[in-house]
Amino acid sequence: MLRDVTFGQYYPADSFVHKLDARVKLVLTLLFMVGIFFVVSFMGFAFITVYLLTVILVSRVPLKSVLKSIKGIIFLLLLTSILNVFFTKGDDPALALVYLKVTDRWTIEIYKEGLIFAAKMLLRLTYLVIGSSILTLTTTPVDLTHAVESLLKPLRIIHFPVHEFALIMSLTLSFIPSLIEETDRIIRAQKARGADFDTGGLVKRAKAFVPILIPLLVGGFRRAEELANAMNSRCYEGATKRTQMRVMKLSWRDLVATLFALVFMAAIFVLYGMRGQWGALDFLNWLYF
Amino acid sequence: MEIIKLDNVSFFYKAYNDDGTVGSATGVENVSLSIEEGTFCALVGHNGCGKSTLAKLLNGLLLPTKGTVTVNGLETSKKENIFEIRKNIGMVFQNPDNQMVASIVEEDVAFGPENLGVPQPEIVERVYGALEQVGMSEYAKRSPHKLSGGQKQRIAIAGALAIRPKVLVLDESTAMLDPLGRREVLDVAHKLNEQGMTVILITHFMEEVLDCDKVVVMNGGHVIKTGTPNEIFDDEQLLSDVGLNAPRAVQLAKKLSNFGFAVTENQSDAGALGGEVCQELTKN
Amino acid sequence: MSRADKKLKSQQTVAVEVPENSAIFAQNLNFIYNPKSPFAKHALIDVNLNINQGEFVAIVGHTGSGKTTFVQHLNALIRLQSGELTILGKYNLAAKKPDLKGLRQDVGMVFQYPEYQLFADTVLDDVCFGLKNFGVEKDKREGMAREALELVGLDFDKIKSKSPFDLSGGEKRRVALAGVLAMKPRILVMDEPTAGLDPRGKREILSLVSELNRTHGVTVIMVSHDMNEVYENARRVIVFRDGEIVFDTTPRELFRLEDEIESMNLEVPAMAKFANVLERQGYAIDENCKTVEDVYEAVLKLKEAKNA
Repeated sequence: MLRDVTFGQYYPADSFVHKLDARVKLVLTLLFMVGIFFVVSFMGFAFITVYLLTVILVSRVPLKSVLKSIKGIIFLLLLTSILNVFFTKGDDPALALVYLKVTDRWTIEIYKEGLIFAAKMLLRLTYLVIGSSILTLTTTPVDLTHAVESLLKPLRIIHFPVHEFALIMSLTLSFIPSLIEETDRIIRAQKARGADFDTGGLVKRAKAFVPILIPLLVGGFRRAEELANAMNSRCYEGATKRTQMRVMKLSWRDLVATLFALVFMAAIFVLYGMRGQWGALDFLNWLYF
Repeated sequence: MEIIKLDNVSFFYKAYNDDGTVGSATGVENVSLSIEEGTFCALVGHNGCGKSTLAKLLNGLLLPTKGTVTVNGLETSKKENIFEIRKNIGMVFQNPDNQMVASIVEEDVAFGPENLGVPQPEIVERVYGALEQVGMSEYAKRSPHKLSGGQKQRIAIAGALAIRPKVLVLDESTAMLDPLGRREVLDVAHKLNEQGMTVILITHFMEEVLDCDKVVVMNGGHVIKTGTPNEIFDDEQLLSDVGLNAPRAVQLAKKLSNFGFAVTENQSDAGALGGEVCQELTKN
Repeated sequence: MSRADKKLKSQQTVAVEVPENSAIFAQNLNFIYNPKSPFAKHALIDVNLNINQGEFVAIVGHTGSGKTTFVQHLNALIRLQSGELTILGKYNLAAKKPDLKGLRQDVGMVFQYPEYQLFADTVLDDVCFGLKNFGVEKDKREGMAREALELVGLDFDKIKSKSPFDLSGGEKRRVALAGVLAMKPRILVMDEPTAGLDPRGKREILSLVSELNRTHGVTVIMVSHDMNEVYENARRVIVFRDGEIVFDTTPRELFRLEDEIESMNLEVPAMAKFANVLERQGYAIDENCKTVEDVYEAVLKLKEAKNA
């Protein structure tokens, strides 16, 4: 049932990573996501694996919870990499590991290069997901909202409604749990009236959702009106003279974390820049694509 | 000193007639009312009697079609007064889930003072002070979603208190709560009143008006009677006309006393009433 | 439970003996939310009970006491995990594939704030939603909807083409109730049917429910927080605490236990409190006198008896 869905995946703990400023975590995660596309060699993957493992260890989030984030999209990950196996062609058909002629035009060819490329793609995507889920595992959605607001502040110069944007995010967050509950309740109620959501063709199933969507929509408008009244009553007049209770302050931890991440990222970029230039030591950096 | 004054106020909603033309529906009509600072005033009546419309007229969420509403000397119909008026009136609504703006308790309570532009250190002071007043300090860092209805409404009260208002309006804030939650909210309201806060309690639970200073009964958009709880409970005709009942114990006490039993006429404690009746029965 | 166990179980279920005239028969009902996880919550623990057809039962208890979990079992909105549950002697919910359609037709379920489920363009369509789902023929539906709407005290011809969203709060709730009653359920399960209503709305709903119970013989299961309401309407009260049934008795009997009631953060109804004081002093008030009116008459009788 929907009730079991927990929003976000914050894992409460009192770790170094949890205590980092959300803005720092967000920026470093973005940096990591860019960096991972510059990892082209197994050497680079070794580096990034050490980096991720260190972060996970320090964050005190059990490895199991981290890996859970992949569970949901494992199919997508595998599909992407398997396709790569088939679509990467080597230079010389004679070196193909598998060569199957289906018709005159269609052949199935599998090369060593294809396998390696697919493996790297799988690793890259997996690390991407793990990296971003470390952010959401150690940062509450509320903190993330504040971080986004704070980081977007400069955009005010071009009249981007930063405050409104953040307020919408925050209101959405606070409404999601009750929205889920309400959906759950309406589904049960309509089921009790004999509604059937599980059988029939596509059109019939789509139609079956009308009795859920309409009450949700009507409820949404009611909520919106009540919320607007509540906000107005509490003197809300837009961003003009607002102050904020939460102060975000950088600490020594943020400096340490940034330095740590930068060192690793620098190493990745160096490895990328020097691919094929290692001469005798090139075996260390084998197989880049 | 009167903090709230309604002078011959009417408000009509826009409504559509059956043939699709625009007509109007009565929210409240010709209401005159004044509330002294420091009173605990209850506004009772059935759904649709106009009591919630009246609440929304108090802080300018609705503006009167006719007449004037004055809060602390300021008229709501003047646009420049609205902000000042809302600083004076803390408002808590019916559905606790639909008035939370943040997913952490302390940030929700901070919403008001943040809007007022209060400096950061003072916001913290106000937020924790307000949570203390409603007895919810230990929940400051929690998510309001997981709390009980009564606790959520206490958070909403704290959110209103953080603005430092002179008047607290509870607009059917107990209607969706279970008896325990209702008691929690009422206890907080009475405690605040003892500290000098003017409280306006809008409700249809007659048990809740027992300890009020003043009760205003509404029906069909009109104020039909104003008085102390006892004066209201005495007027059986009026109560049956508007379909309200005195609390059960009071009803029984009145019946017995009318019959000639020597019992306290407005005894609201059923146990005590039982004691009095026993004495009466043993006496003869 | 292994597959072999399950198979064994589905064979065994035939052997359970359901008392005659039983509306709800539960044996060793257990339910755990999120089993085998750190968030596991034992919501029902060894629930045993039999409710006969035609009873009016109130179910009380705190949020999280298991009462809502229990009532949702009654029309299989929550599937049975372990134990036996038989409805009306014919729906065996421990069976592999119970007849859900028949069950849900016979067990009408009214949720909290049922007016929030209204969705159709017209009142008539909304009331017919269930009828349509349960396969009632088209030409019979309107007549059944009329009957249900009139039963809840609404003027069918006046209201049938209105949008349910244009009605007042009390009317909406009655339309929602009519949507459930149209299917002529033999058991009516209601989760706080009067929550949020004003006193007049409450009285209307309660008298309707009593009427259904008395003249139509519908078995009523009502979850409620309002002990006065429970005291005056139900003939049996079941109290849940931490997933267990802790009391299952008549309202009068239950509310004699003032200390236990208060320790569960429930209220003792005013008239029960009054009667308790008199009883302790040796003045018995008839078991069936629960409303202000009845208690008043009973006191007058005591006085007369004294004078005589």
